[in-house]
Amino acid sequence: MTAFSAMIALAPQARDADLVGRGGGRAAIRLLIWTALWATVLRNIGGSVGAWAEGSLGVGVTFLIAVAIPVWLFVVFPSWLAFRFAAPRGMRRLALAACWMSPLVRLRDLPSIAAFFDAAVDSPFRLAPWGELPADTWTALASALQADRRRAPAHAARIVDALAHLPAGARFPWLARVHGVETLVLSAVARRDWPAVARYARLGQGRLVVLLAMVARAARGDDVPAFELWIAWLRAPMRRALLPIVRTAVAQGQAVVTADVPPRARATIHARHVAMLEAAARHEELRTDDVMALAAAWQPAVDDAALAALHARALELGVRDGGARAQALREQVLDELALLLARADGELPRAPAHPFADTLAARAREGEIARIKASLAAFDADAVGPSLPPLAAWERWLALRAAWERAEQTAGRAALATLWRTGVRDRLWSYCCAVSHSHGTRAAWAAHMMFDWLADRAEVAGDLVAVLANRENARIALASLR
Amino acid sequence: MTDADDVENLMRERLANPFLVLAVAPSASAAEIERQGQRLLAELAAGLDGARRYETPLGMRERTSELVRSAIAELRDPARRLGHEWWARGLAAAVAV
Repeated sequence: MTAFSAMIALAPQARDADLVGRGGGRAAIRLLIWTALWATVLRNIGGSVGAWAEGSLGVGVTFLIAVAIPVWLFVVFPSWLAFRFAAPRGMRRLALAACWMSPLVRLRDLPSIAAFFDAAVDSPFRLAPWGELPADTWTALASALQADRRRAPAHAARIVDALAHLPAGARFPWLARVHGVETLVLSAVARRDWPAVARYARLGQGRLVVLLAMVARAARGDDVPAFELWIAWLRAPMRRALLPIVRTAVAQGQAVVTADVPPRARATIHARHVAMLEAAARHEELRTDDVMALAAAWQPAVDDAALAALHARALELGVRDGGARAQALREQVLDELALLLARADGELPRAPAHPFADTLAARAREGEIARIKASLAAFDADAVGPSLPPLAAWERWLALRAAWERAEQTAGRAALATLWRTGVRDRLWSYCCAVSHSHGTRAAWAAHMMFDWLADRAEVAGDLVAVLANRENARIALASLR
Repeated sequence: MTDADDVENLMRERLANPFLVLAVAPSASAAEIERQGQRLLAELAAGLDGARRYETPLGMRERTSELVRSAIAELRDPARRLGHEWWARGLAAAVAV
């Protein structure tokens, strides 16, 4: 692929639409209605209060009535009405009308916010089908919320990780950080999944998210002072609903809300292994060092002497191919450790301390490379079209991104550079261009992220042509968002 | 299938170790295993509370008659028993701790 063919064109409608097109017309009408409505409200407040007070009000009260309250009514109240009052009660139309009135909401975000409201009440998207929705922060959060509720934590975690590492310039609206993330966090709180709460809360802002992040830290065993928890609870909304959780967190100190969490076994290597599988299944954070420590502990249990003892037991039981059976158990342990390693964070040690760890590291590397190659099959540029919505195209890329970034910690730069040049570069690049061409501005947010990621990977692989072309593509995608 | 599904299935498989389900020692003879299995099936059929749960290193799990029958069948095959026995030696020790 040449750099020229892999460039995307700046869609002329991108900038013009908001200024003079239908989008611009709607924005102008919205501004006019705002102006008329708020001017009327302000005039009525001023007129009534002025007539009632007859000049007796001091400077402070006048400022409060004439400036602070109207500003709050104009800026904060509509979004409060939408997200705190109407949406939780299922009043979708009122919530959307309030969003339309809010100066904190961009007009073009409204379809995505409507989709988010639908996801929040767990109903199918009504305003527009997935294919017509843009890929943006709101639809990404809606998708993460659906994944979280449908017990697909890996999918939700990939979306959240991508949102936590947005490239410079990518939009993450303030309301999405506060209310969108809040809904996602509350979904995890409902099933007491504190690792997920902590993971989601990193994206968000706001008093409720801060409180729930503190409770999640306490559940993890961190030292969270009770005083700080109570202060955060006092400041947060939904105080009555959250009181039992906070009370439990305070009462139990470090062991919060763990009534349904079984005690952790630490006694034997087998039990430690199963406990780590459980932690991985619960999407708790695993560290590479911990998996390697487990592997080190396994070594004497699967070395030649241990396998010989197992072989002897196989003979007692009358098992044919006892040696092969014993070896298969060792391979099974290695496979399971490699699977755990694939879920763990942190780089593999440069020089493994023992042969078992060396074998494990090699197996983990092979697994990561195989995972990337398998996921590449989905990136067919010719198959990209209206049938593949922008958000689905972005989510498909997230799977490859997760596998690649994990491989960066295990497979080494040389192996990835080879993989980049032989398979990933052209296929993924064509795919991103096809998504961008096919969906235009609706895919611009996603395209910006994908091109920026491609440029970063090309830089690591020393592929200057791909770096320059993808940086330019990312810039064009970003420009079409403005 | 995702990695998360894989690890969850593996964890369930390990915790459904037939020796843990039947609450017998890894060194138990075939006759002891059969006897314990039939006793548990009878207790489950009678609805005894004590038979409905079994101990694992990660806490109590639900025991069903299907799980008991499957455990008995697994341990009748010597090759399968070898693997279960190997895991059970470590897991049962953790339960006993």
